[in-house]
Amino acid sequence: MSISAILKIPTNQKLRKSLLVYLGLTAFCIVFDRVYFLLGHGVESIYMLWLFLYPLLGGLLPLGLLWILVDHATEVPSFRAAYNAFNTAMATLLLGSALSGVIEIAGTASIYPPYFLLVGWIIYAVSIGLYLLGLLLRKRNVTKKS
Amino acid sequence: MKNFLQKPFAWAMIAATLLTLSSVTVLLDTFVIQRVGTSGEVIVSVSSSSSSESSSESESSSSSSAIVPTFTENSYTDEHMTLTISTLRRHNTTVYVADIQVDDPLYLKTALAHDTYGRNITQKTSSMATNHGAFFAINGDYYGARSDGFVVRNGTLYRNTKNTSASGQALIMDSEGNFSILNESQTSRQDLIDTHPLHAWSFGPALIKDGTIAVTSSSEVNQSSSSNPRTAIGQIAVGHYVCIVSDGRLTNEAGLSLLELAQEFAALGCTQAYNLDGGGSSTMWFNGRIINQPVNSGSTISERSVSDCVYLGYS
Repeated sequence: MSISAILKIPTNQKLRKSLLVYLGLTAFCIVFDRVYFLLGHGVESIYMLWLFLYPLLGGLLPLGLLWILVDHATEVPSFRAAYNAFNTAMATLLLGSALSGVIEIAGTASIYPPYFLLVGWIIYAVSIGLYLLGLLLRKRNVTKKS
Repeated sequence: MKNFLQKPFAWAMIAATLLTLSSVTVLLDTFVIQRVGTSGEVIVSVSSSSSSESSSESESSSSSSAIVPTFTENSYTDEHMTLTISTLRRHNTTVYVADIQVDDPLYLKTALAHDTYGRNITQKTSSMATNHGAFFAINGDYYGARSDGFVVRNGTLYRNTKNTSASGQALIMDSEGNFSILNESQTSRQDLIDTHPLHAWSFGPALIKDGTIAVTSSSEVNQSSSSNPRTAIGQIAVGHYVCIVSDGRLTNEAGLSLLELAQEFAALGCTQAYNLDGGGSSTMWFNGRIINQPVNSGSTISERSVSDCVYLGYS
């Protein structure tokens, strides 16, 4: 992976857009669960019921904290590779949980959905690692220039 | 690679493609792709041993042509079996009660979809019953939707993987025609074989165990709502059984809770009763017609294809 790729910095506007996307996803997951509950004759699954927690706590919360805590006078430090990995992790976790819910509600079983959750959390950890790496490289670049 | 990582949509497209493909694969594997399983191990002979068994297969096949059945709209009678189906109204639900008396437990049989054990191998209860020359059938436990839980059919052991969940109970019908309920997590393969099972179903929960109602008002199958279409089977005495199927999921059909279902069996004097697969699977078939109103998807009345059925017949 190239350093420039890690250091590619999205703008504050992009972060704001991400916050809105995760807010929309949270709302979508709540509606999706309710609709599926009604169509499934009242059969419920905790994987579906708590689906919205992934975009809420995994997406909206960390991005919101980033938004609140950083100095907006300067750029919000965010990096392309970390950002991509973060979104991929959220998608994988959401999909894994939704699949688990669908399968559980159907009264059947599959060994595969837990792998989605495992892979999702691994990518999530990688995204955090890439973010920290980005911060480190950025600091070094700033130090070198000065 | 360097340029690729800087293109936001390239990453997104590849990730979306991989996730879509993997999800479709999982869904196909879970719901569509058929996997034929073991041919099973015969653990109880259904053609000899007890006197009743010896008479059933050889005699029944030769004598079935000589048997003259008497059918009415809701009953069947011959020299070996009687069946009466009553339609009741309970808890804003239509309930179909089949009272069965047989002089040989081997007449209460089970069939696998397409006579094949495996996952995602399904067939309509009516079709299975017709293919086996049955005159009465209900859906079974839909074993093929799960990868654990005991499966014994007509004396053949197909699966002894325990359902270790808290509700993991199996219904055993032994070679003498007695029902018993086992906790699967505490039952070894040998323990299962030692019960001499003609059939073992794994769905549950037990509704009545040893004469006592075994469910409460809060009991439910997984996370299901409290009222649903149901299929269940119980025993009053040796050779005397009851099958109950209830409607549900329709405007004027609320469905039964497990407790309400258990109370119906208790009122009939059952000492053992067990919940089989319900919901859209619930089907009662008699003499060429579906008795209940199976709700397969949405509120459409149609029969669902399932893994197995329980039937009465000579072949």
